[in-house]
Amino acid sequence: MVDSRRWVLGGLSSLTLGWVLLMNLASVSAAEGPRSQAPVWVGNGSCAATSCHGGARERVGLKGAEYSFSEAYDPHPKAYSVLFDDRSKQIEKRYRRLADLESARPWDDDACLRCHVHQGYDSNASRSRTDRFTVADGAGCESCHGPASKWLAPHVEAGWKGLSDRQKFEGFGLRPSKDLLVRGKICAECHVGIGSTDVNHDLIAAGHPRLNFEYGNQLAKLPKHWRIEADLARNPDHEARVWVLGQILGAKAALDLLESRATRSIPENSTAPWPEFAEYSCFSCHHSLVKNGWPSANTTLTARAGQFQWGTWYSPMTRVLRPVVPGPDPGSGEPIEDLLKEMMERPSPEPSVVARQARAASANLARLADRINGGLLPVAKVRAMLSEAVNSDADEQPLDWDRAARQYLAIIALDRTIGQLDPNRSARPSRSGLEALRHDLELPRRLEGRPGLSDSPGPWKLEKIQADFDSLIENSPQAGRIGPR
Amino acid sequence: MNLNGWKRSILVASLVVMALLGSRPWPVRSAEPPQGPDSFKYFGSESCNLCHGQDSANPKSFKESSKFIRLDEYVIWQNQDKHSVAYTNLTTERGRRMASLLHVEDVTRPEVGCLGCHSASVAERTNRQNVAETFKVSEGVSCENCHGPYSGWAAAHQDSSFRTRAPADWARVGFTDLRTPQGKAEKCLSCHIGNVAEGKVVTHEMYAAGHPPLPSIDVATFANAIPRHWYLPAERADPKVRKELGYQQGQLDQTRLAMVSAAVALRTSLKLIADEARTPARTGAPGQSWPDYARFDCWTCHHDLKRDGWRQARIDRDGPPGRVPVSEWPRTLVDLGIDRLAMTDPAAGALRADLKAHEQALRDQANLRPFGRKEAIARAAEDYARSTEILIQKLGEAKFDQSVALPLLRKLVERAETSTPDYDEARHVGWAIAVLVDDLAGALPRFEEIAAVLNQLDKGLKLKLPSGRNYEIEAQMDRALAVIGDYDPATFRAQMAELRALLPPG
Repeated sequence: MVDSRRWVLGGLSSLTLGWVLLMNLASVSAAEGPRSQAPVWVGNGSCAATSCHGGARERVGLKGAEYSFSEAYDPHPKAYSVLFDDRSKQIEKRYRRLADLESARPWDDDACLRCHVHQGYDSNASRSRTDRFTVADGAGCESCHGPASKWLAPHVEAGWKGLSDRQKFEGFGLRPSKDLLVRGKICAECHVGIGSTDVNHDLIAAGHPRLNFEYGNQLAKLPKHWRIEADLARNPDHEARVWVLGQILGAKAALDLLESRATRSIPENSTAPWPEFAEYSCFSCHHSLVKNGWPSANTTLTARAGQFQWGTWYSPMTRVLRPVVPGPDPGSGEPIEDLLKEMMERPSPEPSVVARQARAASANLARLADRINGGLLPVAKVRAMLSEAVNSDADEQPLDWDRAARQYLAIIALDRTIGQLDPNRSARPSRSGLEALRHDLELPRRLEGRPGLSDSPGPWKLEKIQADFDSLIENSPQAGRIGPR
Repeated sequence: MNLNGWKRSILVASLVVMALLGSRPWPVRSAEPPQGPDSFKYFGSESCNLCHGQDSANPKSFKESSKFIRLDEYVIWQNQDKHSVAYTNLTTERGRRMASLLHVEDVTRPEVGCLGCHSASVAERTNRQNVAETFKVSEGVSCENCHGPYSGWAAAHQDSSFRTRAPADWARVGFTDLRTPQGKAEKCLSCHIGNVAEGKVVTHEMYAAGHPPLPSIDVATFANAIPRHWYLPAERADPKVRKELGYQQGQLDQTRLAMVSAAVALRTSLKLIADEARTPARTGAPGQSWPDYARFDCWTCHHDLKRDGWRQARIDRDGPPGRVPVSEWPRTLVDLGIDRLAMTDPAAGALRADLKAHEQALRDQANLRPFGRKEAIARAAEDYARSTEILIQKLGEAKFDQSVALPLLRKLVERAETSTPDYDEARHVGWAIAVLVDDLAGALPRFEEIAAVLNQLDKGLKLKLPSGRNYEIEAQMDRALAVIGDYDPATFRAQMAELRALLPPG
């Protein structure tokens, strides 16, 4: 029945598909510019039919159950309903400085909905969505796949499968999320921010969790409504590739956000926060007064004592990436990232300079991401990156929590690919060693003797964590030493 | 020890030398323009030791004078007062570590900016001509740092008429007014909060490199902990001397000092903000570029991250979440000061409104964007500072007796009971309560129980100050930081409630 219904639907519109396709492609290729009309958001209801993507949940991993699976397991659809929680109301109350909790309506605040519904949400732009669209769907299907008005009918047509991903996007607005670079950019729209979506320090201080996007980790954790085998078939180096792309696209997204933040703060009457504290290492300022000692261990992390450390989460781990991303040519002058870091770590960074430098650095990364996305990562290079990732001593600066955590996530991702591509001949870190490292990096839920939930590393166990890394370098049962010799 | 022959002759000789150097005996009345502060010379503490270095165990030698002063001041300073190790502290391991973190060779070099507070700064900053051969920078914060460079008043101050001169006359010869609460507070706070013109600024870079955090300060409490090398008016046995110094029976000098010094602290901190914001970036000196985070509230940023922490309850008060207010504690006692004025002065209400408006204007500037905009912050702080002048002046003239102090204590406790103070604010309140309770001891029927609550308060706030020069900075720091890290205003409020129940009804 399902198939026949789909077939009938397809039959009805198949006459128009050719025409629509032709028109759309024609208008895209036309040099004079804008697409016929902006696509609109139609809402999950259009995807959720039992015969389409709302099939029985038992069919997880099979086509036709994408919607039902996501509703059950994926956190994105709950992004809206979470706004009714007490915690969300508390955040809203503080963020908007409201008199009481009853006046806090985060579900009515565009600043929240721009991510928690996403899908280009703007309460004043009702014409950008159909009547069927509802905010209650949370970050719905179209958040990632793109506004569906133009591809909803065509994508069930017989000729649809014959189109390339590029044609589907340029002609109809369906985003090519199978491409890992595109997929990562989609995640970053909310999970890093793009200016109109911005979890800045005001919002974090009001209680919103810090965003520390790590593509590899977050994609691995996402309950997937598609077959991971398909990902692996397309990209045998899947985990390592996602990690490498994540380093680059995460940094690029963060730089674009920085440019936006800086630019918004320039006008004389601007109230946009600047310097924007969310750009900096949380633990530059927020650290235990007691266990870190005074001066704190952080003091040596910046050129001048007492400055905020910039670029701790999003700047690419260049040392680990070196096997696939060669350093700049000697003699090409100081890298733009270094200039930007120097500027950002001044007490009063000049926003126009920051915006300019961020734009230039972002353009470099965009080119780099495209290049990496173009070819397979050879096993030898993944192995070389893993060997760098376990080596915690190679950087000039002492380890901080952000870097240690990122390095751990790099090891996990690169090791998985080694496990898939070359399990017997490459040295691999022991599971117990990785487990020890994860345990020591975990933020303690509660700090001893203090009320409230903790979001700090607590007493920073630098030496212990360094030892955990070192133990990973030791000989592994399979094939010798992982780290540098 | 008696003033033996050789000491006496050195004294006489030194007076002759000073006279030749341009100092003259009191009074200074001539057609010549008065000497500016830069023309006075520092001699170092040995000149003072000649007379003020008497053995305190045997003070009879200067019986007549000792009704006014102790004469063992030098000995107390040298043996017990931390100020005497202010310079040598720079040469310790902590000092070397700070030098390395500040990327300077040696923190005792004048250009680094430490000597401003850790020694006789003025001489070092201007030129060696302001320093006599006998002056040693290694004496740290010695007599002349507080009392003024010796050359202007060396001879004059030995005349008994000197003690009854007006502060303006003292100023003309470079002798600091430490008699009036305002004069005393200004002198202490020039280092303990800061003063740009005098080269006394602890920057955030210095803190980050390891300088202990400058705490909130109540001058009455701190001065007693030095320990004191002077008499309180009531301690002077001779009624004639007491009268000369304007002593009045029943006046609560410590309470007045606490109230005036709180207002002076506010003005000093505002002036520091304004002056530092207006100082052009100085190359070579650490941290001399705005914003200097040290002018902002420390504990807004420096804390463990936790959810549902008490700081989030302060957001309504402090403006948008995630912004850093300028140091909060100097405002803690402003309302109480106005409460005092309101008892006798009909204009107090207008002054309260004026100060509130300035407070809000400064807060708005600091909230507009993180650390505000330099020019606007400087202007708001300056305007605010000007308004505090009136408060300082009126509090200095106000009477403080038990009939005034008791309602003030009650108001202070009641207000604290419903507030969410940070650590420094709570400590400031704690000290003020302790001073008031001390001055009111006889009027508090449940004094013993009140003292017990104050002991509990001390445990959470570390109200008692480490005295003496042999204390361990490192050990003290660990304890102080632990107390700050564990501080919770809920406990403080509960203690305020306990205290309120123990006060006599209003």
